[in-house]
Amino acid sequence: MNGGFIFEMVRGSDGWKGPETMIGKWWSKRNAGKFLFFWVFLFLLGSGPLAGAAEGPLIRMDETIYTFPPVFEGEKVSHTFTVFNRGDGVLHIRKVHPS
Amino acid sequence: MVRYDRIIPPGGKGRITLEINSNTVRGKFEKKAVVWSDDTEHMSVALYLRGQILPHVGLEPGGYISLWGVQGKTIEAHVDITNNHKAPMKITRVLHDMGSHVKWTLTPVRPGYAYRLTVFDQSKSPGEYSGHFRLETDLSQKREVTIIVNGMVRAEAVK
Repeated sequence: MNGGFIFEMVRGSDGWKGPETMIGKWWSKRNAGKFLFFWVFLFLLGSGPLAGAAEGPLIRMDETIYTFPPVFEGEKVSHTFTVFNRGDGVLHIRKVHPS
Repeated sequence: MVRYDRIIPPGGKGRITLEINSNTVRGKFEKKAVVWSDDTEHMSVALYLRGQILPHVGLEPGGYISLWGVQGKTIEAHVDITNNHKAPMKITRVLHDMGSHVKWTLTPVRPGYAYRLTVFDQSKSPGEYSGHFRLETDLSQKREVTIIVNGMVRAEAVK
């Protein structure tokens, strides 16, 4: 009668029926299960394991500043920083630009 | 100079090595390098290297002497020479290429570690000159120290 629209007003034998009555009818027609399934699916898509699949590479470093002890001119001054990839995609270091 | 791993697998780790040429840097320094990656949340990460490069032999106020003044007045200047190593250092020889323009004295302030080279202008006529002092040492890391000299002697004003 109402074509599935829950807010449509319909005229019954006892007069016009409002939205509250129609929602009750729609709910009672076992659509509640579909409704709940739809929202649970959306929740899983947004925050569940499916969302983590698109994480990609994550660059992390345990130190970004290194202070040398004083050294004499001509001595070798170098330091190696360790870079971690905490993500689930391959991390590409595109460029290291000294300034 | 920079060396780095270009590809790091998921869960893996790589290395970024930064190197500084200590022959061209003096005193306290801070060098920065920016790492660019395909991590969309942290596309750039700044790395810093800090430290201090000490000369084997320090020169104060610098590796130069200016002898500027008026003829007839005393024109002199000095450089303090400091050995930054624990082992003592001797200055074994002092040479210069300015002939009779200058005379000099070398005073041990703290023998083995600190000396003062004082240079006096001896020009007989007004004019400009320049040259070098070459100090030879017994320090294996620094056998020779060079000090630049610039002289400018003006004629005395006529009254």
